Order: sequence, then C-alpha cells, then structure tokens
Amino acid sequence: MIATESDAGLLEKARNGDADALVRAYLDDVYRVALRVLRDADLAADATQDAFVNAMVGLSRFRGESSVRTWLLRIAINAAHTVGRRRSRRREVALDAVGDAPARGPRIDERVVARVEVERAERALAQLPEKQRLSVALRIQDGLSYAEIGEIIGSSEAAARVNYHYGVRRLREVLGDDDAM
Amino acid sequence: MTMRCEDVRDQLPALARGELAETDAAALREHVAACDECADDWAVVEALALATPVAPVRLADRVGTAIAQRRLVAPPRRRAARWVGGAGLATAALLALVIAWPERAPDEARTIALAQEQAAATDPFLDGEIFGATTPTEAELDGMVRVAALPQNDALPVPTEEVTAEDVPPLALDVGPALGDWPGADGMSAGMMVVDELTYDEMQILLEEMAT
Repeated sequence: MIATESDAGLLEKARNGDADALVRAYLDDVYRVALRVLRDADLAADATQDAFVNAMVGLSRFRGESSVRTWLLRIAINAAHTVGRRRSRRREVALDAVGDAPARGPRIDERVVARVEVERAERALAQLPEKQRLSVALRIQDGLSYAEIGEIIGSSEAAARVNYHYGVRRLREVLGDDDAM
Repeated sequence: MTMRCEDVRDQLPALARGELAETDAAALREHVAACDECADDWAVVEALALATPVAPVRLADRVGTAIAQRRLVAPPRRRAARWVGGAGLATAALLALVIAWPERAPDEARTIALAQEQAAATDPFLDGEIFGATTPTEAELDGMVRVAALPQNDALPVPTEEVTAEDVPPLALDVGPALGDWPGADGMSAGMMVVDELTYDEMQILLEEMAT
C-alpha cells in the first residue's frame, strides 16, 4: 500500500504519540505478510497487532537504514512466527482456514478470472514452503523488488528471485495437476 | 523485437497490478498470447494478484487500542528513571537496576540473555534484532520478550523422478562431493538439476539458503 503521507511524516507523528496514520498506511501490508506466514486470518490479526506494538516500542531505535515498509514487514514476520509458536506447533493449517481469509481489495474483476481460480491459487500458495510463499506473495501482491523481498525474509536478492520463480513454477504444477484431475 | 521469457515473467506482477505503461503492457500481452510457458505463469500471477487480501475492517482500531494500552501500562521502573533523570544517567541506570532486580529472578534474566544469544545465532534475518532495529536492553524487554529461535528453513521439494548416475550431467557430479555433509543433498541437488532444470547458479543459491 502506498502511504498518503511521506514515511518521515508518519514516523514523526508516531514518535510524538500519534501512531494512527502509520498504522493505517501499512496495516494491509503487515496483515498480508502475517497472513502468508500463518495462513489463518485470526492469528494474522493477532500478529498484526503485536507487530505494530513492537514497532512502536522499538521506534526510537529505527535509524532509516531500510524503508519503513521493509522494517515493518520484518517485524511482522517475527511477530507472526511468535504467534504461530505460541498458539500451535503444527505448520500445516487446514486449507479451509485459507478460504476463510477476509475480503479482498476492490480490484477484483471476476470477468477476467473466475472466482474459483482465485481460490485455487490461494490454496496452492498456502502449500508452498514459507520463503517461496512469501517471495511469491510479496512480489505479486505487494509489488516489492527482489532486493526488498530478500531483506524482509532474510535472503539475498538472488535467492529471493530464485524462490519467486521456483514458487511460481510449483504453483503452475499444482494448479495444472488440479486441472488434470 | 522478441522479448525474452525471463524478462517477461519478471514483469508479469507489474502487469497484473496495472503498473506498466500501455505500450509495455501491450507488448507483454502479445508475448503471453504466443508463449505457452509465459501464459501459464500469467495465469498464476493474475489469479494471485486478484486474491490479494486486505486487513479486516476493525483491525486498525484494535491495533490503535493495543498501542495506547501499551503506553498506559509503562513499567514502574521507567517512571522512577524519569523522576531521577536530573541526577544523571548513571544514577538512573543504577536505580532502574535496583528496582528491576527484585521483579525478575536471576534465572529468568539469564534465560532472556540466552534467548537473545540463541536468536542472534540461529535466526538469519533477526541478526540479533528482536524489534527490527537494535537489540533491546534487558530493561526494555520487560513484558515484551520475543524469543526467536526459528525452525529450519523449509525443505526443498523432493525430485519426482528417480535419478541415476547416468542421468546426472557432469556438472552435477562435480557439485555432488561438496554437498556430502548434507543428508540427501547429493540426490536432491542432482534431482533438482535434472528434474527441475535449475541452472548451476540457481542451485547454489538455494543450497546456500538451506545452510542458513
């Protein structure tokens, strides 16, 4: 999501006690990353809350070495991992949970791709290993560069690119297998 | 001019989000219409772009409330530190330590220190940072400890076909002995190179990921 205020302005407000603008600017981004890690909407909401609280606690130490979005998404991944370990040790989540994810943004044009295709793609995405899943989601749904993706998930830029293309290839195989059945 | 498939696939997400100039978008669509491989990629990218989730409606309010509550329940020693701030930082730090010590048993403090050390050692993208900036002090960790001993990276997919020595090209055989410390790595790397058609460089990158 593109912030309507500059990141500097958002950080200044947050440091002065008003975090509302920063939260609203990056809420979708943080939630999306948490959802991709946890594959559960309720847990993702918990992790999103934790992520922003942690960010506010650590705000004074943010030195601008990365973008605000990258910084927040790194915190979101950490928070999601913590929530996941706290609530459950199982890494596989029922695919139905992915189907219960909240409404999507207003860009849907269901004349182009049938609703069922969208849901199949979501379920297939949930089956990918985490780094591939995040690389694919951050590239396609958040429009991040491979360098930014690498910084967020703890990989090199080259590894993020490989994880992305390998993830898309796996999705093609999974969706292709579904078609063949 | 013929577009390279590699370049086309890199730009498909931008095409799906409507971020390309019309001429560039038209060129991509023309390529996708004529290339089965890129068309398959496009189907995946387009579907996922449409599946982009957004946060629940009331989550922003919930987050705002949580942030506000966190400020309202500041630990007692922080208030004491502000009160004695005029006496110098050293005094404030000593006072904070004295006030904090009874609240945290020695073994718990040691546990936190060990957790930080473990997190820094095992988590490649924490780098010792729990809050995303710098390693917090023990005083700042009160009530906010986030231990992050992450699990191993997800395993790469197992090859779907059995690979024999005759199937493996010479380059994969050269790679094999270097991976001897990783169980199954020889078969996996060779299988990946034959079944998944990764280049040598791509394989090296993924194997480095496994080692971190």
